[in-house]
Amino acid sequence: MIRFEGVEKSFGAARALDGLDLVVPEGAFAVLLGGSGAGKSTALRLVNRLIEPDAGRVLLRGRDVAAEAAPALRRRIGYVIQGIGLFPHWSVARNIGAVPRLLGWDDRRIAARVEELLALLRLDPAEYRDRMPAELSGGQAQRVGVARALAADPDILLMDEPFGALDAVTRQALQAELRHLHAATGKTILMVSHDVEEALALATRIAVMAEGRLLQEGSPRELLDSPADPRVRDLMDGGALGMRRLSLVPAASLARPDGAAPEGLPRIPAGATARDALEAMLAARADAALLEDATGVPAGVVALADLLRA
Amino acid sequence: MRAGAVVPLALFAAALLLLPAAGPVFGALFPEVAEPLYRREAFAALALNHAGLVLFSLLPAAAIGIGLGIAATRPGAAETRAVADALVGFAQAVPPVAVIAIAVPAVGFGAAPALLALVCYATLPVLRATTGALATVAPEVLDAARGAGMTPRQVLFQVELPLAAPPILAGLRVAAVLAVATAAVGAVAGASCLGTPIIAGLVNGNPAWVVQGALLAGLMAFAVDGLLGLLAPGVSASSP
Repeated sequence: MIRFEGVEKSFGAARALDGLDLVVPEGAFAVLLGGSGAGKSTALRLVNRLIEPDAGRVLLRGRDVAAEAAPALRRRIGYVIQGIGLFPHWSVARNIGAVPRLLGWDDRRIAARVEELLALLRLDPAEYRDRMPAELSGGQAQRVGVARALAADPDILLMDEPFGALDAVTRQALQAELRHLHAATGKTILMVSHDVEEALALATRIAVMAEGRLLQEGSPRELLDSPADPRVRDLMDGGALGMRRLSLVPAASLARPDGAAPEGLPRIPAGATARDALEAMLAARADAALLEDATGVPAGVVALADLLRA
Repeated sequence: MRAGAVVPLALFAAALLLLPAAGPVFGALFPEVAEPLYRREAFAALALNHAGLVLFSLLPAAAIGIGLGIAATRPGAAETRAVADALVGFAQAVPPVAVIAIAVPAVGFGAAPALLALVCYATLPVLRATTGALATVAPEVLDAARGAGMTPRQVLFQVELPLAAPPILAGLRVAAVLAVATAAVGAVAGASCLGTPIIAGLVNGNPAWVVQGALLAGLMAFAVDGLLGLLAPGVSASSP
């Protein structure tokens, strides 16, 4: 659990944080959402003490982060940044092994961990282990960046706009993997983003910030349905409120048994969102879509009218 | 690249070996000179002294230049940076001969004033290269290093210096070549080096001696440049 208590921080005359109070529950995938200058990155960097607060404190599992030496604290916290920041003079394996090496793991344990993480992030160890960062694409480099952050198995992962510099296709692929990673490991993730779609696609909790303060914190659905502030409403609405709501709802939760399903309906995977279902219906000019499980067996029908219940 | 190191070195060695036997050649080139070959000291001994001056000025220059360069680029070292900048400016403004002239009353004649001047001059390119090279390390790499939990010392030795090493070595190479050239001036203060035949030739109106000293000093500069090129490929001090 990460808790910000009345945190204030100024850089010269500029006030970055103006009394931030926020709790990130254990195991949450929390996104700090807001425009530039909202104080998101400042808040994130307070957690691993790359920035020290002027007032207030940050607690990690009830313990003030200032109570521990910064290097030791940082070795327990995974950190991923937008610029990736791979060490250009080290191979992929050495980059991933950076924190374990600082922690004094022996070489064999580090090598085994590197293999494990490369496989987890879908990079063939034999092919990528000895590559230099300059020999990686942007998406591969960011995968290595995530692997490096996970290397010493931290409980908490801090991510500062990790996918900001990637193209849309790569970004979506990495978002999907991050979602999968969060589900598989249960790690607490705190991520900074200015992209509402990204926040809705990933977050279990969203904290909307503006001018160094928290505007509202809640589940994505809460923020969409009952914004507490006009700025939150504007941000979450963005002219696509209905579609965004659909994207949060699994199509399966709106489906009915496929008993009398007509022939020729578009088929979508059982795990698809209601938004995927609508897209499939519109694309096929049909008024319903057929859910099917991984083996192709029908698992229900969702009709256009069902989407109104989302 | 290997040839770039070997050829200048071979030329220098050949000149050193052949010059003592080249009396008749210089006699033919400079018929008006009574003693066409410099014989007061062996060329090999002069070259060795010259190399010694370069080495013993380069080591402190490297230590001071790299040390100051590191200190000046630490966060919150604005004062150190100001001092380093002032030093750089000062050392640039005063010509080597003037440093030697000022140093003689303080440290006497001989190798000491030459060493002092050489350290001043060789420090400059090293310091410049160090601050410049450390400034080019990408901020996100430093951010990642600190975020991974490296101590400031680990960031410096594991990330900053390895990344900055090639330009720093290039700076050392420039400093070495500069030192070989400047060391010749040390002869003015009585230091025994390849500048000695040049000064003696100028004083005695013997252009043959000047040519012999200048030839060896020049070839030594190329040889040193070539040798250090093996350490720091990419930047050559001999190509502007």
